Amino acid sequence: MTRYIGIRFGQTAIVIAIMSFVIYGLIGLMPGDPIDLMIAADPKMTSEDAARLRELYGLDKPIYERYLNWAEAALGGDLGYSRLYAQPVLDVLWPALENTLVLLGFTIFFSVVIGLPLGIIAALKPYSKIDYFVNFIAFAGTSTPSFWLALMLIIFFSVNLGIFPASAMITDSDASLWERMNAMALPIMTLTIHSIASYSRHMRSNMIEILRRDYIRTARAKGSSETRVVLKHALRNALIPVVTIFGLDFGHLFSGALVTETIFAYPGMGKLIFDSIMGNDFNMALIALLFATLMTMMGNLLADLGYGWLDPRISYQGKS
Amino acid sequence: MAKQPRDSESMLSLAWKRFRRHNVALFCALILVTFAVMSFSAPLFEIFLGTDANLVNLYERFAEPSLKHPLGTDELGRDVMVRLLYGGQVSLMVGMTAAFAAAVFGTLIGLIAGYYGGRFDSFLMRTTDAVIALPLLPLLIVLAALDLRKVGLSAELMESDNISLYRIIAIVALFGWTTVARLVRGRTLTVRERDFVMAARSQGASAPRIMFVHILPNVVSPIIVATTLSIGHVILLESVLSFFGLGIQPPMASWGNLLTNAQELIWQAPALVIYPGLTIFFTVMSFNFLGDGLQDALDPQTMERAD
Amino acid sequence: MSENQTMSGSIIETRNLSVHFSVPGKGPSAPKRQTVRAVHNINLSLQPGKTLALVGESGCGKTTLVRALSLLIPPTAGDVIFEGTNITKYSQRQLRPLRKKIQMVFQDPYSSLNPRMPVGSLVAEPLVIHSIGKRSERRDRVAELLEAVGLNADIMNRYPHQFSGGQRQRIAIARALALDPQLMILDEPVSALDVSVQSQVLNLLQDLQEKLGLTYLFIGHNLTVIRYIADEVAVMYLGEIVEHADTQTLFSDPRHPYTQALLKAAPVHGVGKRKHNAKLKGDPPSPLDPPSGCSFHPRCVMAQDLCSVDVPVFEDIPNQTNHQASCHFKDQVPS
Repeated sequence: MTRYIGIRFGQTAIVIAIMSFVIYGLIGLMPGDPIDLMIAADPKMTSEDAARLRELYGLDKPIYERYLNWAEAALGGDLGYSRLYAQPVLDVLWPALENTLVLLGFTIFFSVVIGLPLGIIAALKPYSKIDYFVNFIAFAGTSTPSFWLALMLIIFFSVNLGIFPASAMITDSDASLWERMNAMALPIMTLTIHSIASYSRHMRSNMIEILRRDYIRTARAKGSSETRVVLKHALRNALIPVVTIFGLDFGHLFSGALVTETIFAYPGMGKLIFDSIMGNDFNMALIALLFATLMTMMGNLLADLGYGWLDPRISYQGKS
Repeated sequence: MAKQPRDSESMLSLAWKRFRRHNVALFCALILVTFAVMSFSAPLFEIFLGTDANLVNLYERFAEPSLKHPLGTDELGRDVMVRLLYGGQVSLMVGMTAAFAAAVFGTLIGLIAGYYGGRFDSFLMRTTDAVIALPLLPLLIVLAALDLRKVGLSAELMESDNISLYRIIAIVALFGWTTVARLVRGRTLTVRERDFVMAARSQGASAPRIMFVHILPNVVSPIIVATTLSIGHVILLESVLSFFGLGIQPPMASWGNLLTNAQELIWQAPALVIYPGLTIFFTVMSFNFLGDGLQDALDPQTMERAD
Repeated sequence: MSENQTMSGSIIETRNLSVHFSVPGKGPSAPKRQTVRAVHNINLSLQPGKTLALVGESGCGKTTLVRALSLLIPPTAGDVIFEGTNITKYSQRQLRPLRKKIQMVFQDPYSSLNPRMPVGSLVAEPLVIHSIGKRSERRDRVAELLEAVGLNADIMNRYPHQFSGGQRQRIAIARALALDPQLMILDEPVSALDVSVQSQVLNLLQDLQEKLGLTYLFIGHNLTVIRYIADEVAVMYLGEIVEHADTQTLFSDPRHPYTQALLKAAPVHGVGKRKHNAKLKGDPPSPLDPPSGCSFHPRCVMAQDLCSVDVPVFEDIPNQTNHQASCHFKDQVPS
């Protein structure tokens, strides 16, 4: 098991390393050469000045050399300076990450608390009204563009009902907890609706699958009461794929968070990624993207581990 | 002994019979066909209504729905309905093309990985897993924000009308192949063990022949299903990118970029935000239901399998 | 015998052919990887125009042997000699022209024909693979082949699922004949068919053998069928040949306890007085954990202490021609 985790960490590290090179290259292709920007800001700069600056910043070196310099610095802890925020990258990154994790935390909590039971109930009463309802919600949820969902919620709650604010940006640092929660309400709702759609659907189909299986019938034959049967056997097994989705959904959640945070101006990782890419802040974008990749892969790893732990039939030696 | 189907019964007609039982899927197929027909006859609508999709008329901003403008006008006075239809052309085209391209690529990968097995399989599947593990949207945004002139593509090409169309198709297809690849690989592994493949090998059939003549026709059903389901996903991705101004560029209309200014519009004309989103919603949902129906029709035993 | 000399005129021969698989060890105390001896030290020789039957329970390695013999899987050890040439190390490319001469018919008529291809394409495929003839010529040939197996030429546009098991096997046979092969490997070709249909297909196979001078390697487990169609029989157990003889001899004077047990368990009509008291006890062993000494000894009613220690040699039975067995007590005529 430890060996397996070790291998996975190794794989993650390799992917991150490769991605860092790829993204480094891609970022370099983004519009806006730093020197050009400086020239635009200072028209008196001559071409000799520009050339000198290029040399100073090492921008005239070939890409792999620049990359290696960057990598060396990064591994040493120096992740660069953010042009957009005029601070070291890490100083901007951590708070944003915290904010996003808070947002995702609430989302996951509500999705699980609402979505899983919905799925279970739907599975227990197939083809009933509630089953169709859950199915519909699931389908609708995954068919809705998340940005549009956000907009719809804004229209409904902010414009029409005036309950929640359309922007989640709190500028007043003395804002109370209540105000903060209020501001976060719509983003959480947006993300949650999407997640509930996934969870309830998967939970339902897993439960149906499990309930059909033979050992449930055997357990029933032994005389256990219905509830015990459901809870003990089915739940444990149905949770397995849900755990997997949870881990895989992490990446999805991150992407979804990007859209939601941007629309609601919530200062999280997603908005950071978006702003830094659109603002041509190379350093920030690079680090933020790598972080997002890392988080996603960690999510996958956790999901696989959870899967393996819950399902004793899977052995790590035999994993293909 | 197995039941003997009638002489004229082919596998296709059996599948069609199963599909017909799916009322919802049929209905959705109908919706999609209607959308498609309407979208591609947008020019006719233009003529009929006497208006133009790109005609800016600042005197008629935010007009109420009328005979001349069945859905009203937008913030620049352009007719909403016609723009919606043109947007449909784009979104549907992007959706189907990108999904198809991704499917082709994914099928190739899956066939090769499944047929050759061993190192190839290992490598290809690990690559696939790695791509799946990447955060999709952030990377799409980076790719969409690239300035391709830096790679050497001519400025002329970059300014051309259709470039945003090609770009978005390419970008979305770049990540969309993974589902199909996995699916095809799994099926290939199964089909590869069947006797008729062994028979072909024993006759000296070459690997490409076995892959394309023997294995591929037997894995086509799940590919069709997966591709249909992915069209909806692609349309969603395109709409997000266009919404952010990174996808289809105005004046070309796409359902996504009709919503680009939505956040300001919410206060003035919420209807303008509702229409495009609703069309996206119904289209994607229809593709999803259609895909489900196709799955039951083409591949009924999938329901029973544990994976 | 020198390397390239063969037993006179054999179509195909194997010498000490072995196929071993390495599998992950099962169980907590097993080593990392274990070796499965699927096929071990097989020496077979097929004479032209004759039928050699290979008999054994399922899991004895028949299918693996067939695949190794046709070099669809690489042997772990030993040689395959085809018409005097050692083809064991040939690449797939070199083997391609030879594949025309060796064709196979499989057990399951439902999976040996590609369900997505019409019958005409199926039968013509060998011709297409080897680029023989133009389209019209191929059509004619397909018609010819279908008639030769007793089917109507106008079924060419139909699909396999429209036919019965027996008909599908005929189609499979037609396909196998397309390239005028010399050797046909028939892997349990009638085992999946209804009894009434079996004899029809067997008769067809015999007719074809006479008309076209085909050599058959016939795999099976039904002794009645074997007796009917085979000239020689080899009995296989746990990856090895334990007895080999002319059909007549095998059925009248079996010397290996396993053969005797098989005959006793499924008596064949017309064999004569049942002289054999041998019985088959226990379950087939796992190839992962073969018994020591003689691999049959745990199930052998005649087993002695010697049998669990010494591996018996596969050698001639004295005073008989073309009869070999591997048993310490093969020389004793059972009472």
